[in-house]
Amino acid sequence: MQLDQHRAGEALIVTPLEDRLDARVATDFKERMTELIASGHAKIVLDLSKVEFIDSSGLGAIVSSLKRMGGRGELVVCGLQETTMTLFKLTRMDRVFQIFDSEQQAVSALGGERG
Amino acid sequence: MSGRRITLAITSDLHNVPLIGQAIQRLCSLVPLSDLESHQIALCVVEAVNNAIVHAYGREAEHEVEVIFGHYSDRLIIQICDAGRTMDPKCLAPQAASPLDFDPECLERIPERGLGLAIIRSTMDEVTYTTSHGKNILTLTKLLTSRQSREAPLRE
Repeated sequence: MQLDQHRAGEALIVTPLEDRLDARVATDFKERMTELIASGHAKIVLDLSKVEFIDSSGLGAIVSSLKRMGGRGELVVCGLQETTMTLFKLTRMDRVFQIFDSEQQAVSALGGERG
Repeated sequence: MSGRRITLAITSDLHNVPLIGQAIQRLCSLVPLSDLESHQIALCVVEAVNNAIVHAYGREAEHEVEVIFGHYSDRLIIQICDAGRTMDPKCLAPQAASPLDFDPECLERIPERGLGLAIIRSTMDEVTYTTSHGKNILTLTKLLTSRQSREAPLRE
């Protein structure tokens, strides 16, 4: 799957360029995220603004990425659409992930500007 | 029970699943359900079809997964049918532990798998599973509100 990556301050912004994060691409996505984390990125913003559909496999791959950080870094989410936000709430993952409306807010939070 | 039914079928390849998902979402929008309701029902069907491909058929291609979409006066009934390995009925038992009952503070216990059935059970009003003559049928029922029921079946 296609992932856009760019840096913003200390954070790496990862943007899947697919409209579906589902069982077809979940393994590939998980492997790509694993590589990024293994290469030393400790602050990652996952920008899901282009993703219209996430199934449980896609969500599992995101959770797997969070676990891969192992508490040594931070993985936050931004740009959720109404449909994908509903999935996070339905599965109670909104209690697990820090979720921000925009990339800017997410980067700011990772920069330690939270109160 | 009078209503309208349409049958969709794909071969058991995960790349075909979006076709089913998009078709179900469109059919739901004709009921009419809201975009969000249509999306959630389509998600449930996608989860069920994924399970059929991955678990019933072990990811082998060239098998068939059939989806029957039925719109009745007060409900939607969607059946997902396969002829593969049968699911353990305990998975749908009312007392089965939900993977959604986890401690968000405990990283290791956050579920990565097994969320599909939990999503289906949380979204649909009734979920049943039967096997007969080698055919497994997962039946998902969504009751329609009085507003939705007033509309003619599958608005044209």
